[in-house]
Amino acid sequence: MIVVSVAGLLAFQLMLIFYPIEPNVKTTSVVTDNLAKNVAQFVAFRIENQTYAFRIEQIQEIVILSQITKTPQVPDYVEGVANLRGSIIPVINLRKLFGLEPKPTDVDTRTIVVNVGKRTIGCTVDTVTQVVRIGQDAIHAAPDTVTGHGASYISGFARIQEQLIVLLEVEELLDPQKLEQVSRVSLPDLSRSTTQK
Amino acid sequence: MNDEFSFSTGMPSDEMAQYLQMFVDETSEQLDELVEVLLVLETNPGSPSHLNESFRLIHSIKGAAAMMGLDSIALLTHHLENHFDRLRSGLRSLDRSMMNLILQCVDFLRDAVGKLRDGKPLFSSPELIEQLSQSLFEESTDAKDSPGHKRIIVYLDRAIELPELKAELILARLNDLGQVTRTSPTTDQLESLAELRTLQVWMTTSFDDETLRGATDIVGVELIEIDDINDADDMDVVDEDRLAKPLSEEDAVVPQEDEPVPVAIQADADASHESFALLSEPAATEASPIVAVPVEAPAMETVAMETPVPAESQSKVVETVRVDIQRLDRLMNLAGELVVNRARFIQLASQMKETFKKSGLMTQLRDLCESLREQLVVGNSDGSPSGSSETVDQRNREILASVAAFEEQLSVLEQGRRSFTQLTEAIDQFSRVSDGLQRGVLDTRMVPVGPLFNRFKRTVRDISNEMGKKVNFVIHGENTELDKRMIDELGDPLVHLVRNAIDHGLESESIRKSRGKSETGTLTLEAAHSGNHVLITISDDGGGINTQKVKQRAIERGLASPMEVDAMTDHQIAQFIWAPGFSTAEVVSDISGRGVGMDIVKTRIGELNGTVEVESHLGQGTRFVIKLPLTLAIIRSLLFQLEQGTFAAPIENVREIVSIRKQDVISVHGRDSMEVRGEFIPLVGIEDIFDWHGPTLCNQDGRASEGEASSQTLSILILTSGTKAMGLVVAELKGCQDIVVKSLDENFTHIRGLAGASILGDGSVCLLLDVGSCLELARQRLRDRTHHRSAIAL
Repeated sequence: MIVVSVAGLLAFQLMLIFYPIEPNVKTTSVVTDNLAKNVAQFVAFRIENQTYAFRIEQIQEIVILSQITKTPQVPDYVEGVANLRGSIIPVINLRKLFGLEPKPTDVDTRTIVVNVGKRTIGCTVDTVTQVVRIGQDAIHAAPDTVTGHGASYISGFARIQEQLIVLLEVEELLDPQKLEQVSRVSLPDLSRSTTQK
Repeated sequence: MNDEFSFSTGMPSDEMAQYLQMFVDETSEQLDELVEVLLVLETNPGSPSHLNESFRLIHSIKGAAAMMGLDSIALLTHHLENHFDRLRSGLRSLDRSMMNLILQCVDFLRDAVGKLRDGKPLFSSPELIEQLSQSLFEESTDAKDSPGHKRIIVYLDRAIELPELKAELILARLNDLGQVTRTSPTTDQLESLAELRTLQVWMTTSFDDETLRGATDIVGVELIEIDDINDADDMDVVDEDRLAKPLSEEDAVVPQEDEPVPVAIQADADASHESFALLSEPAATEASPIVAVPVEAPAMETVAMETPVPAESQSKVVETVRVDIQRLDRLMNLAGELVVNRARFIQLASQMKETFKKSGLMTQLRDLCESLREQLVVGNSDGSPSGSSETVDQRNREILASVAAFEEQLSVLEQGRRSFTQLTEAIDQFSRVSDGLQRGVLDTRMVPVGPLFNRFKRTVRDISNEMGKKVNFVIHGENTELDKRMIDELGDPLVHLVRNAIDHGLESESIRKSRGKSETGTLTLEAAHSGNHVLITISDDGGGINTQKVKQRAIERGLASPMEVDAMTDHQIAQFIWAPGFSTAEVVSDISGRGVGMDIVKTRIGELNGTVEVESHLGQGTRFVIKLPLTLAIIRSLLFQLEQGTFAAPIENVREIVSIRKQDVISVHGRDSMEVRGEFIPLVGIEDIFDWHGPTLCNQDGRASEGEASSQTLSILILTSGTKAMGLVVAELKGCQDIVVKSLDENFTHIRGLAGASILGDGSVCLLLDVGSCLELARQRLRDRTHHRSAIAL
């Protein structure tokens, strides 16, 4: 496995994708062959000790939200709504969605804004780590003990160096209709097992 | 036959996809127009101008669909077009079964357009097309391939005996060769005529003139004239001068046994009224005609049946631009943000006023400087004897210098004050412009309710036919304008109300007669402005709500006890119809009466920030009044601060703001209430309305302990919706503002109790309460909590 760090050119690409630019987002490629065509880019982020990633096309931007207005009558993993340049988006706390203990907002906390169908939804994560390029052949199916009980939002596992990245499917994870289901089958067990490692 | 059509589905070809929106918009407009024309044709089946108009509309839909590559639409419209071609050339008459078939086709087209709009695939309509071509085929049997329309004028010999028998013979012979559509004089009149000189026969035949002539040429016939008639319009060319008497029978009609009366055989326009009268009589007995009469708002006259429904009155040509509604929404958002920013400016300016506006402060300072300087100068001239005069002098000079410097600063300040006055003027100007802009943008979203109302002509026709009731459908105020989105959402609730009115409201003909009412029931749909609202009224002159039956049902369903019901006024009893699942219909009919509906109507209208009220008089009729705000986009609201954030409540729902001492809160069985001018109003906190998860529960306890300081005053917002009211404890009131409402379900989901959210001047989001459902939520949650508590106690 070759690990290449691409700075200049990709950073420019990122400028087009992200607003504001995340200065500490690094790009790592995990490709077995430089010419491999089916290489996808993922944005990796951490929750607790586990690294997850969304496909880059599904992400609109990464922001730091200062003001979130709490909304009533919603499950606890919905933090509230926020103003994203004039439109009102819901903010979902992925920690809480995955059934983990809440953690106060700190300097690393980011909100990843994703597009789910026609909706724009924000989800807060502990920290955004890097943009990774992962070849199709480096993605493995998640064990069915993980996906078996309805966790269809996990599209696969990928290993970079020593790190296991859980690849998430945005449409399955954050669709308002599917959120309840996700929170029911949330996977604190998974993160615990990987921490032990 | 099926196979030929079943593959004719289709999505628009790729290169045409960009025009799809335009096609969808135009076609739906044309379909609306078509239905209107068709309904006119139903009461007035022969009108050539309306037949032509329908032909034109169908033709243009066909053309557009063919261009878009939408085969299923194009094919169906092609068949329809064939029919109308025959209709307008008088080959076929527009009977009821035909009309129903055509309306079915229109439904299919409308459905197809809806599917296109949603991006769903289209299906073909083999059954409809088969029906269409079959009914075309039926007609064609007599007329062979290329039937022509002929008018035959037979001049009979004056000397012959029993000319009526001759005439009948001629007619019988001609009938073998084609279809006789009309004669003059009619067969019925033949016998009673004193003298028969000429016989005119209109017929459809594929035989040539010679064959016809041969058939007509019997003993006693002097002269035969055969004219070709190509179009319905040509039928008008009746040379009256050449015809012998009797002219009075000119426009009489021969109905062909069971065949409906042929349409396109009107004589010239002057005479056409009489023939209409004749035509509409048989139609009236088998169908219940609807007279849809659009009336300009002020003129409340009902137009009689013979009057052609004026399509002309609507044809005022206004130049329009078709704009994507999303662009308007964006513009609306920007205008809204401008409004928010304006509010911020005004707020800042009022804060600056403190410093600048007090002109007194400036003059005071100036006076102070002046007196200081005077004192110093006076002190100098006194000439103190002390030896240290030099140091004093020096100090004096220094003080004078700083006084001068101070004065300089003061003049800068003064200048600032002048600029500030200009700034406030500029803000005033800005306010005016932004107000104008906002109003302008709002206006672009306003569309008249006419098209929405006109769509109900069709609904009324269908339902009244089905129910066998005669309905006179009257529309008033169709030029009243409403927000486009509101019009879109209003359709369903109105359909419910209209259906209910015809099904349950209007009595059957026999009952109406026995009650001394006219057989035809009247259903009125009316729109009018009232201040910042639009009122939509649906009223019927039917039986009204049977309060006795409602009472019974209410008791049966456990909505109220018999005691309670007896104490209620009729008006209060009528309100039970809004309860979910409530229905008093004796029979559950296909149209309405399943007891779903009225509560849905209420919810839907509530979602539009509107209210609906019912008024009923037994035996005289029922009247539903829907009250809607002019627009959904901007709502004048009262902003207030709570621990959970900033909230807004529509100013319409705020009855008053009161301030009471904590000790004056009346707490009975754990529920708070308060007294306002002798009225007891429930008092709730925001946590009684909404579930906030966890932390708020301890807050509530905190509030209770805090309450020890009983002299503390509470700000209470009294919110009302309908007749109900409650007091909401608020931490701080932030004033009134126009807020731009954004929906929560656009990116998220609908939250019960919230009408939406808005962005404030500082960029934060405030939640807008939907007071009606807040009241329900509070009641529900307090009840649940009581249950919960009693469960714990057990």
